[in-house]
Amino acid sequence: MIGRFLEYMPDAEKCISSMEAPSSTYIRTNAIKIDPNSLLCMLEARDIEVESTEVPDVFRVVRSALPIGATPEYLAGLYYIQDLSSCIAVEELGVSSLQQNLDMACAPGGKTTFMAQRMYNSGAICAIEYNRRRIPSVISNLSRCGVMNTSIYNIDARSVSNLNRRFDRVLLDAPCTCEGIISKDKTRKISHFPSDIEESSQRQLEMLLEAIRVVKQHGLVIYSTCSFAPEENELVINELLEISGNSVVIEPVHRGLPGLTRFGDRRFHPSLSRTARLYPHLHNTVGFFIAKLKVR
Amino acid sequence: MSSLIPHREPTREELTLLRRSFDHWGIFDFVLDKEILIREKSYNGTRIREVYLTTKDNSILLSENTSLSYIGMLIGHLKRRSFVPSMAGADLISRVGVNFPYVTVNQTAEALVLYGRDIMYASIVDYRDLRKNNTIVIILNENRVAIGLGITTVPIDENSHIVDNRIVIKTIVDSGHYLRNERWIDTGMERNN
Repeated sequence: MIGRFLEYMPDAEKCISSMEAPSSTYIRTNAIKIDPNSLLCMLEARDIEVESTEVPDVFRVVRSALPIGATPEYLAGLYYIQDLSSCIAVEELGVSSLQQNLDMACAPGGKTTFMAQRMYNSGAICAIEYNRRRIPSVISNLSRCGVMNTSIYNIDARSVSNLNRRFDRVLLDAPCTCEGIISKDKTRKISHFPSDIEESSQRQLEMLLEAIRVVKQHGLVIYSTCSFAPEENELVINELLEISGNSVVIEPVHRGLPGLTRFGDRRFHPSLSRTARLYPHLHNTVGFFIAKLKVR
Repeated sequence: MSSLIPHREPTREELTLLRRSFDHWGIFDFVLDKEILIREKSYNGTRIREVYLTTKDNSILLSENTSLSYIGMLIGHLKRRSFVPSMAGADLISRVGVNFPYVTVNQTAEALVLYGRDIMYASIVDYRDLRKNNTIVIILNENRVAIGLGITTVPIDENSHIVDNRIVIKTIVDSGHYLRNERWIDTGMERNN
């Protein structure tokens, strides 16, 4: 599958070699519990050095004398270990207090807790997780981070309209082949096959159509994956545009590189260039795709 | 609230008890604009009532769906006629509560508490309202961050004559649980049965 990268990825060889190196670790201040300056003082006292990133409250770990996931501050939920790309996806969702929002694939809860943080723990979040075994980790993270505006449902995201609710914002971080996180999980290089991409792509389109069904008029949907595969990204959005006609438009994501408008012999809608691709060797994140969709 | 949802509103008696407890922990005002929900469970053969706190909006948004797994934050449980905070509840109290019983421990004891160890008298750097035996108390580190919940084994005040290495607070639950067992569900009942 990695051989396919040469078809669409800028400096594919650099990207592949960067994925062999350890990736950057990012932490997000949990503003529900603490302000960034107070957290930085506590981390400095533990000999942990961090630097700012383009996303407020999010820092890159430069040096740490302790495992960053085992400090008393981590256990107290003062920060969450989360890749910058995931934080950007939530930032682009533009959540605010008192909204009613949906997270369609919430485990292990990182983006859900960030949404709650940006909502000042007010309003409501409906968090969906199909895999029952992953729900305890969501509960653990929500508890640790002091989130109280969220309900978790154990249902298939493709049937979320059965809840009979409409939402201001919908986050669909779709289950994918996870090509983009090879730097964190080397087994991803050989554990997936082209047939998996096809199956994944179909499921992603079904989930995205359900997201569009349950979002309020003028509401926003963020579709993201940690895959490089165009079939799981631009192709899904392109098919959505073909199905939905003028009722869905792509809003620009002002980060990363523009999404693809062609792949092989396929041509996509020109507005696909408003989507964003993040690459490890260019953006110091895991591989990530973000599309911001507005429902008219 | 739909009968399909395992959570219910508190009875009048439970609400009275909870309000008194929230006043004790200094979170009475904070809770006023929130929704309190109760879920009954059996834990090691004992009936317990879990207490959840959530936003009004979230309780309104609840769907009549049996697939609901969790609501808001489990802040503690009602056992007989008392409310015992969970770890998340202890943390909430430490952030928004006023005049609650606490003990602050030094950095050495902090590391031990996070592995579930009890607290010796010499580890205490500050405390409030621990004059009685069996007082439930929030355990804070020197940054005033909640790291656990404990119960006094002896009365502690300025007139106490306690030897340094005596265990004075038994740890009920600690935030190290989040690391030791990701699948752990915070009931606040680990050592309180």
